[in-house]
Amino acid sequence: MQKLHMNQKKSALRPLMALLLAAFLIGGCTKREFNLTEDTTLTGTLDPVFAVPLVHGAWSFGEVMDAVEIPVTLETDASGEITAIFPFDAFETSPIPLEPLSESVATNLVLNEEQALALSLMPAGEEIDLDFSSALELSMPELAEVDSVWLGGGALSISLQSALPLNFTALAECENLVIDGQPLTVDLGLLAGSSATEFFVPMSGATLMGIGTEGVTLSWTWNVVLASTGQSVDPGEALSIQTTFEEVAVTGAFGKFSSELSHPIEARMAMPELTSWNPALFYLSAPRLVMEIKNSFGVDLGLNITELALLSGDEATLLQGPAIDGFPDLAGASAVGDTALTMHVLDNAGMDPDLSDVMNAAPDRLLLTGTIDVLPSSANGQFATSSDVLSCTGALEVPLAGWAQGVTWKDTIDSPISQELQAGVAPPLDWMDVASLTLRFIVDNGWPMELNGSVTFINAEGDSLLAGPGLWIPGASDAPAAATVDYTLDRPLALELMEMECAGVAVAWTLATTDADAGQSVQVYAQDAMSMRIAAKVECQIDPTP
Amino acid sequence: MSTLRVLFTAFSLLFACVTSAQWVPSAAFNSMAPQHRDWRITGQPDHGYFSLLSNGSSMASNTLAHPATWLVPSTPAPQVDLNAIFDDFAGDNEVEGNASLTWFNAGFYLSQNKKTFVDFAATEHVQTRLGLPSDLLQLPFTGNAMFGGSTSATIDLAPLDVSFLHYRSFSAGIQRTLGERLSVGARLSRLHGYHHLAIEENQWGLTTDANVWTWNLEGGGRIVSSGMNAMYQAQAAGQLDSLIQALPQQLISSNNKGWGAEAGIEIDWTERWSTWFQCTQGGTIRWTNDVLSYEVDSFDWELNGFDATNGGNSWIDGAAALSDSVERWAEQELAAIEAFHATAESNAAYETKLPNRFVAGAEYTVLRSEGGSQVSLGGMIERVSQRPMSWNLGINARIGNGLQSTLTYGNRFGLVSTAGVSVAMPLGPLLVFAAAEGHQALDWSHFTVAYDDQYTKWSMPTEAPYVAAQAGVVWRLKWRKPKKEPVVEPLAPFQNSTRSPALGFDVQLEDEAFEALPCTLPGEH
Repeated sequence: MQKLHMNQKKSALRPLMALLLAAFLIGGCTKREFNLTEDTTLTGTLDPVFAVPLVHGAWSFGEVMDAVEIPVTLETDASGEITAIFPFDAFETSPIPLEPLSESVATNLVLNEEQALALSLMPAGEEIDLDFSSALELSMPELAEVDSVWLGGGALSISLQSALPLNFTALAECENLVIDGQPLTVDLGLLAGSSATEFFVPMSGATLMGIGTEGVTLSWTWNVVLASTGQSVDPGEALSIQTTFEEVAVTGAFGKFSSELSHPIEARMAMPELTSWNPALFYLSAPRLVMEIKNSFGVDLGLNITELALLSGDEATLLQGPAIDGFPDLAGASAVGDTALTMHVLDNAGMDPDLSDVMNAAPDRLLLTGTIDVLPSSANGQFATSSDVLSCTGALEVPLAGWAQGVTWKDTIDSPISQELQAGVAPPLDWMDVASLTLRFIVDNGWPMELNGSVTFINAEGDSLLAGPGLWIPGASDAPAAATVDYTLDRPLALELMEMECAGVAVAWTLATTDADAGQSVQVYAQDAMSMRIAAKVECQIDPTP
Repeated sequence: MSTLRVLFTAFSLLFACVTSAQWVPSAAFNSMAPQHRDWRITGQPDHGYFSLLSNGSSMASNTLAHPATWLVPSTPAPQVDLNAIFDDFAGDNEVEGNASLTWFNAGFYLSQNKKTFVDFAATEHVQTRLGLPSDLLQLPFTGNAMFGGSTSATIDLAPLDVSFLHYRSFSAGIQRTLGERLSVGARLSRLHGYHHLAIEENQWGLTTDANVWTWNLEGGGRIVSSGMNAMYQAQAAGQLDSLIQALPQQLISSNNKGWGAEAGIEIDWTERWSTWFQCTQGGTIRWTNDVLSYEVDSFDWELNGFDATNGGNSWIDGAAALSDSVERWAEQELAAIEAFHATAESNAAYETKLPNRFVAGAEYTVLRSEGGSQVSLGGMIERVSQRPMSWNLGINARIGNGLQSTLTYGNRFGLVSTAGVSVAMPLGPLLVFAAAEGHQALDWSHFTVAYDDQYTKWSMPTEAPYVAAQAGVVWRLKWRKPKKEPVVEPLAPFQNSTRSPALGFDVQLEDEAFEALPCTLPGEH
């Protein structure tokens, strides 16, 4: 019975096993063959799109100006305002001349009959003393009151002349001629038989001491010893003493200077190269002339401007107005060796015509004529030395503020575009697989300037063939202007260019400040920053079986 | 017939040398083979057994490329369908191959009453895996700027995965029957690791902004390896031979150690219904030998193109061509990235976790004979860490002690649905077991590529995302022991109705049984 059951079970399973075996065999026999070659056809689409960042950067206006090579000094103040400075020298003069001293005085001692008889009767070797005084007046026309005068060169000469048969010995002292802190004393001698003797005293370092009056009076006291030679002396014979300043240089004068002193000046100053300035393109809203005067005289001076003019060729534009009339006094130095500085700014305020208008005339020179006058002073203590000078320098300072428009930069890039496009058709993968190439400019413009760009495809002769897309980057006003600009070169445009004889592109950029059309003046600051990112996107349309 | 058996046995042994356990679901229902206990630790084999170097299992999965599906047959030559390639690269793109070979395997009952069964095994495991990012493979088709209305497009490189794992497990298990309906089992494994390479963390990607077209390179990750650097150094120094000579010594070392465990429970709800649940804690291996790891902290690096702020930062000076500038720029960017995100190299020990696994199944015995034959239906779900759920349905047929076969159909790891089969058959003292999964592997394609008069030929399954095979031979203990005549309880009244036709089988329908009838399987006392 069990065997029967087993047989029945095997009978039941056999068909199942056979079926499974058949299924495996059939399945196992399934085999496909694929023969592939280089010429195997590809089907389907292959249109990837790739985007890639190319360039990025951020530039502050100050950094850009530093990088630009222009012959101008740029200064940035604490607020970031940038100013272009064109310095120049105006004049350098000595309005208070110190004239050399040339004065002389002679004292004659003439013997009368009694004196001659007495000297004749004196035995040889006997002496008599004579005491007397003399004065030498030195005039100082530039000084109303003289306190002291420094002498720097030349000499004081003292001479004795006599035909008397006597031996002379003279001792002289001048109290207000001081050398090395001591009054000047001089010993002189003249022997009988010698007609004259002369003595020189160098005046370098000597000081004449005044008493606060006009000019200086040198007071000499003399003690002369006459020694007899035993010979008879005739009446009417004389002893002559002469004191002389010969071209003694004055290196300094102290006291009170004459307010009648006036010194003429005339200065012509070259201005920066503004001859190419086009007033239709640029307007500077706040130029200024800064005059800086250094005075080392211890005297307050006044600059009396008779004419201030900007010259453009032969044309002169006279500058007038309270800003010029109100030129400040030139304060004197407080001590010898010091320099007092006086600065005066001439800007649009108080100027007629205003400086902005004059700048647009592109002047090339500045003319200044007038006088330097000694200002009246109520007190002494003024001084002038031979090394003192009054110098005037100036600068044309141009803050970068104003407007500009229509400033154009053009260039031509030679490139055989059509030829290159035709050569670039090289299956299986070439530029024909590119549906479009887009350059994206992402600008965050903090500069108050807008840019307009255009590209024109040209032939070898420079003739325009096809206008390319434009590109406009707005300028900042109150806040940076953000802009995303796409420049797309698509396949139809490329195909069109391929058919032409395009030999290059003409690129033109036009710059204008924000709202320049409305005359809006803008101020450029060093920290104004512009950032730009350039990225590219390539949309492919690849033909798998070219 | 004996020749056929020898050939079949030899084929099984040969096949066993190339493969990892637990990859063929049909083995779960084939109770005749001891290999079914990999799936069902609570199951009892018919006999004790032992084997030496004669059991193996392997799997291969390929979701990366199926060239045959890219081709459209046509005359005179097939056409390559780019759209099919694009579609094929969508989703996962992985190639995986796992294999295991059992060096030694033995199991036996501790007592005559067969209540307790213990087993021991030593198994070598090799697992490899390569995953490529879909975004990277589809890049030639899409580019990096297909935004589709999004604010950005990302090329996610995180799926890039390379791993290699070679370890050996020494396991000891016990299975115990508690009463008539409950069975429990447990197994403890000592793990010895030998080679390991893995990308533990991967945060790489490239994002393109839709508005400004800038790139953001996101990066960061960690690569760990053990036992690989020595191979690399030996290869670089041309001393691979000496390394190979030292390999046997290395393979018996025990520097990298860990533990694994698994447990299961099975309940026979009725004589026909049984369910089981098995939990495998894959275990951990602490790698200490020849460790080399690299780690990069996560970062996000924006690429804006050339920096033109200061006249180009020297990338433009002296460059003879645009390519020179690009090269300089790339060098500068890489140097900058390296400066800020230096790669940290380490030789510190690390730990890896093997995936956990949960299996739940149910089996319903449709037919059962007194001679041990039976037909059953089964179902099973499996969940392995980091993989989608798997499921399988099976039909299982056993002919006494002569043959047991199982057919399954299901889905493994979210891949394609496949059919599988297993067969177990005693051949004298031997019990031969073979199983296979993935019927798609029966459909093959042959390729010939001609290029510049050079021909390249290869064959591969047309589209087989998952293939697995397992084979083994064990020596049955007490195979000569004469079997007692089965003692069968008096049968219930013969059922003969249109619902249950009598086909010679002793049929006992569960819902018609008034009380449980003891069922004696062949070999049971």
